[in-house]
Formats: sequence, C-alpha cells, structure tokens
Amino acid sequence: MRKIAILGNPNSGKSSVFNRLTGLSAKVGNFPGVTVEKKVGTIRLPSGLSVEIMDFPGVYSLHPNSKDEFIVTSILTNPKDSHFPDLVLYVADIMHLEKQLLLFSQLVDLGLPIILVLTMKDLAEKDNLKIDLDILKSAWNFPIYPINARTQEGMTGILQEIDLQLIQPGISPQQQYKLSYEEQNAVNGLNEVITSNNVYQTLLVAHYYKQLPHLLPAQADKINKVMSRQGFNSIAFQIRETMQRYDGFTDIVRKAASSGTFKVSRLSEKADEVLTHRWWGLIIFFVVNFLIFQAMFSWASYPMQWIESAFGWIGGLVNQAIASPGWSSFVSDGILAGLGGILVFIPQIAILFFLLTILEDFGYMARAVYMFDRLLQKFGLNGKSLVSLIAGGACAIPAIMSTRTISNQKERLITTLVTPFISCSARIPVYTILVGFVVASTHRIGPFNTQGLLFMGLYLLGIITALLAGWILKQIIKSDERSFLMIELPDYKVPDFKVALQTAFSKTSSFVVEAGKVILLISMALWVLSSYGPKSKMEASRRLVGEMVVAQNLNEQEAADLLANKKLEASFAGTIGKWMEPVIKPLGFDWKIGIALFTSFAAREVFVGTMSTLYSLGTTEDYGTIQQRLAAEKDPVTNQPRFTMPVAVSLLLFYVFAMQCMSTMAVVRRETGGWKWPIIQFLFMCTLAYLSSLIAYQILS
Amino acid sequence: MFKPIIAKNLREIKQGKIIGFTDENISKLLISKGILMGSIASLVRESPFGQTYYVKIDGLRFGLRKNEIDVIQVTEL
Repeated sequence: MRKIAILGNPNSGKSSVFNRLTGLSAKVGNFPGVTVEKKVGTIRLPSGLSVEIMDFPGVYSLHPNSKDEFIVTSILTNPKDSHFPDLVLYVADIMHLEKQLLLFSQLVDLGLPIILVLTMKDLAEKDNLKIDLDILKSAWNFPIYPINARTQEGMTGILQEIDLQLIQPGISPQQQYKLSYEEQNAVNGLNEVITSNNVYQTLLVAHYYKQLPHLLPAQADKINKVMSRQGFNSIAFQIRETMQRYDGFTDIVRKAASSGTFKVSRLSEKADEVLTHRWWGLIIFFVVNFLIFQAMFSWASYPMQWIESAFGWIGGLVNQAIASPGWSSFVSDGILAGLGGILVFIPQIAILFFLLTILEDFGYMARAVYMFDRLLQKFGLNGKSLVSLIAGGACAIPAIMSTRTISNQKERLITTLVTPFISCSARIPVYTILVGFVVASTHRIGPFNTQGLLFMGLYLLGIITALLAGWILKQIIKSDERSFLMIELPDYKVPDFKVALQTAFSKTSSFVVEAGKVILLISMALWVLSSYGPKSKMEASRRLVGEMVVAQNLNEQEAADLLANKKLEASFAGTIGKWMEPVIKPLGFDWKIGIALFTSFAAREVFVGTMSTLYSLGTTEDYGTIQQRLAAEKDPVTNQPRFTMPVAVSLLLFYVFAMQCMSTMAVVRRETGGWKWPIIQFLFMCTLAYLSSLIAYQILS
Repeated sequence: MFKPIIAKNLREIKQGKIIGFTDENISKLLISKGILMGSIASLVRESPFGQTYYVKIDGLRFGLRKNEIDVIQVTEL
C-alpha cells in the first residue's frame, strides 16, 4: 500500500488533520525497535485506491532533540524503511507560517513530493490575514491547501490531490539549502560508502551515522573513518543550515502575506496574565487538577459498576454452562476475574486521558510544564515529567509511556522510576477498605471528614515520596547530557474533542494490551496456586470442613464459603503465605495478609478479591461486607481483633510504597531496554514499603 | 550619529532585538524553534518557582530556563 506521512511542527494542528482524514480507522502502534508511538490509518481515496496515512511525531527540524524526534530523521534518511512515505502532507499553522517551515524546507531537499496543508484558515480569515498562495506555489511548486480542520472544510480537495500526486508526483524544485564546502566534502566522502541519490539525505547521515539504526556496523565504521578525515563540525553546520533555510523562506512568506507575517494572539497573552501568574497560576493549576480527578472518580463510578456487574453475570453463566467445577472455577475465577480486573479500570484511565488531552490541546499543559519546571528540576525531573506524574494518578503504564517526550535521558529515567509512587486507580479499593480501620467513617476534624483527609494524605504521601525518590536518584545517576526546557507556549485554542477521544482511546488500549497480558497470565497462575496444594493438606482441609459443617450445622452457602477458605489455606498460595509469615510478622501481618500481599504482586486490586475469599465471603466484593468481616476477625493467640489501627496503617503504607504491579515492571523494562532498572525500582520501592510499615507498626502498637 | 551596538542580557533589559547567541548547543535548538537573529524578544514574567521565564519572540511565546535565556544576546531597541 502507498504510504502518506503527516509531518509538521508540534503545534501545527497535525493531529486534527490526521484525525479528520482517518477517522475511526486510526490505530496506534509503535515504530519497530523503538518505543515511539505511531498512529496509522487506512483510507480510500476518491479514485478507489486505499492508502496508509501515518502521523509522525511533531518536530521542528530533522536535526533531532529527543528520542521521539529522532525517529523522523531515522526513517526519512532510509528510503528502504517500511515507513518511508511516498508522499508527505506537511501541516503548518497559517498564523505562524513564517516560523513553521524549517522542517518543510528540509523535506523539500529530501526530494519528497509534498502537499502543503495550512491549518487555522478560519482564524486567519477572522484576523484578516491573507496569504497569496500563488506566490508560495511559484516559489516551491507544490500544491497548497488552506483548511479548517475543525469543520472538514478543504479536506475533499486534499484527498483528490493525494490521488493526483500519487499518479504524478510534483516535481521537486531546486535545493533550498546550499551546502558549504566542508559539508559537500563530507557528502562526497560518504558517497563511497553508501548509495544515495539525494545530497541532503547523505548530509543527514553524515550528522547522525552514529545513531542511525539502518546502517550496518561495517558501514558505520567506514563512515566513521571517512568522517574522521573531515573537519565536520556537526553543531556549527546545523546552525548554518537552519539560518540559511530561514533566510530563504522568510522572504517568500513575507512577500505572500497581506499584513504582518506573524500574528500575536492578544487573547492568549491576556489569559496568560492570569493562568501563568505567580500565585493565580498555581492556584488555578491545583483547582483544575482537583476538578479533573473529581470528574475521573465520579464519572467513572457508573461504567465501573456496569463492568463489574457484567462480569458477575458472565461468571454466573459460565458456572451454569460448564459442568466440571474445576474448569468452571478456572474460567470464572482465573480468566474472567483477571479480565474484569483489567477492564474495570478502563473508565478512569479513559476519562483522565480525555481530560488531559483536552487541556493539552487547549494549550494549558505547556503552561503547566513551564510553571513547574524549576520545582521539578530540583527533584531530578523535567517540567514535562508533570504530565506523567498526573497521568500516574490513573495508571502508571500509559504514564510511563508518555515520558518519551522528555529528551534528557536521565530525567526521563527518573520520571519512569518515580511515577509508580503516585497512587494509581488500583490502590483505591485497597485504601477504601483499610481507612475504615484507622478512623471511623463518622469522625471529623473541623468541617472535614477524617477518612477523606486520610485518603488525601495517602495521595500526598505518594507524591512527596515520588519527589524525594527523584531527588535521591538525581544524586546517584550520573549524566553529562544537558537538559533543556525551551517549550513553546502555543496560542490557546478551542480543543478538538475528536482528537481527545482518539487519544483517550489509544492510551486506554495501550493499558489494556500492556497490563492485560501480564495481569491475565498472573491471574491464571494465581488461580492454579490457590486452587491446588500439597495433596495431603488439601484432603485434610476437605475432611475438616466436612466435620465443621456437621458440627456447626452450616447451610449450603456457608459450607461452600468455608470450603473455599480452607482450601486456600491449604493451597500453594496459602503455603507461600505461611512461609512469608515470619518475615511480615514484624509489620503486623499474618499469613492471610501474606497471601493477599503475594497475590497483589499481579496487580494491587487483587487484594480485595483475595481478602474476600480468605474471609469466606465467596465472590462478594462488597466493601462494606468485607470491612465487617475483617473487623470481626480475631487473632487466634491473643483473641484480640486482627485488624487494628496499627495493622491497617502498616498495610496502607505498604500499598502506598511497594512496587506491586508486574505490568508496570514489564513496561519499565521495555522503556529502559533491560531488566536492570525495573529490578532496582522493585527493590527500592519494596524496601521502602517494608521499612515504613515496620516502623509505623512498631511505633503504633 | 554612530551608535555602538552593545550586547546585553535579556533578563537585564527585558526587551530587545536578538543579535547573537553565546552557546552553540542551546542556540541550535533556539533557532530551530524560530528564535533568530533579528527577532524582537521580550521577557514577560518569571515562573512561580523562579528561574524559568515567559518570553515573547516575534508573536510566539516560550518558556525558557535561566541558562537558556542567558544565551540570547540582545541590543536595546
């Protein structure tokens, strides 16, 4: 299939154009070998031909500044790459055209056929900015389409033009950049090693041969030999090239524009007087975040209930349909429970990412990054880490994947390592059950409900720990790489809801895929561990239950719950819990909590399900019931209540700090390229969890 | 009359015309974002936690760190 790439600056309106062109056909994947998000959609052109549309990361230049920017350079310097486009849709904001053509000018020199798409036509008209397209066309000889991506206006023209261009690609005009003597020398030298019929492409290879994945090691070595003979000053040449290109197209744009070539958005500046104000800016940021999380929890509660009841219903059907009790339990408690545990978090993740994308598209996130950069730098992070930290409030997996925009490797790594400290959705069920053992639900401090304050305290504890851990890591990890902020604060604009929906969808599916496979596998493994055990023990427990049923005259339901309870105790999982007991006893935990901790390493929310089985509640996950049952539990030795305030505090602290999510570890492994960092992260977080629980329990009890 | 061009720091004079950069690595990134020689730059405000600056350049706005803004040399308008 023919490939069409959408390229442009970060704030050009690229995503809107991609969304309007591809609609629902868009899919999100990764560029092979790298963890950079790739959006692809297939569309049918008016001629009936199907083509693939790819949205590339937004970049200013082919001289990259971060991992996700490098992918563009890497693909465009390799015509054999499976993503190398047949045609480019270059998207630029008509209001800032003079500042958005650097990349365009580089693409021209790569000899690519281009359709120039100018967005924000509506705003330009409102602002009385007229661009004489004929002047632009005669300068570059490419078709140009001003559009309004919000209303689909101009899109049909683009589709027809794609058809035309694929049959008869526009002729590339002359080279925009004249190479210096030294650059030409380098290109000549490289021509002995690589075959390329494009001078600028070869020049880019000269700049980046050390990182380009498509060069064979032998080729890179040869290039290295050639280059070491040259006086090739990469940075100086990049600067020269960039300046020369600007000189070239600035004149053209100025000639074509009716009035001033760059438009100042007075409205944006007025808004920023408040939104980035020293005090107001911060206050508004916290209010906005409070509202976002409020919305996430309240809106998500309905679909979450639907998902839970749907799974309950399906589980019931399975139990009826499958005659063998072993298999029916495997399907309903192993597979369905795992699936349900994943799907139930979809609403929260989708809502959070929808709202965050709206804020981003509106232009606010860039301001938040600007405001918090200095603070976060003190903790080894970058202003851009803020986005990951907020997203971590829903789920660490998509949050860690959004660290890819951080160009400095050390800051990106630290963000990846500390984000799991932020309390994610999966911790909420655990907190909900346990806060009841710390303070009564009716207790108040002033006008505030104490349980609510405690909940907030747990969140705050996660945030503070993330920052402190960042500070520690900053001292430990050594790096000479320079860190930059340099963030453009775009004009505020009405957010594109379709783009936000698409982003929410893609982030959610990344969660389902990444977390899904791990949680499902572990859920099945846990089912096996908790359903089977040493034969003698299992049989003994069955006999014991039989005797107890007769002695205590239990009804059928009570007998089934008791059997589940005793079976779990005798199972492999129960055995592991008992092994763990000496280690976790100083934290105030017994073997039952040990089993719950062990199973929580699949995903934290499994705690609730395990607890309800351990306390013979069958499959109920009603928090009130679980809480009552936990409260009634007595320590067999002292005959005192098992779940005391110190135990609950200790357990809460453990869940705030411990790395109990295999899916997150799998994503960290992928993003950092090895097991080293996830293992360090695991040990660090779990040690912290153990020590803080130990100290809290020993002091409180 | 001849008026000598004196390079100043944008943080000192708040507004000026860019006449040069003092660091290659940083200037490479600045110019690729359209912060060029001849551009009119003005410092609007400092961020809540300090040391980061809200800068207007030719109709665009940027958040720049102290070490980034200090690379920009300007002259009074």
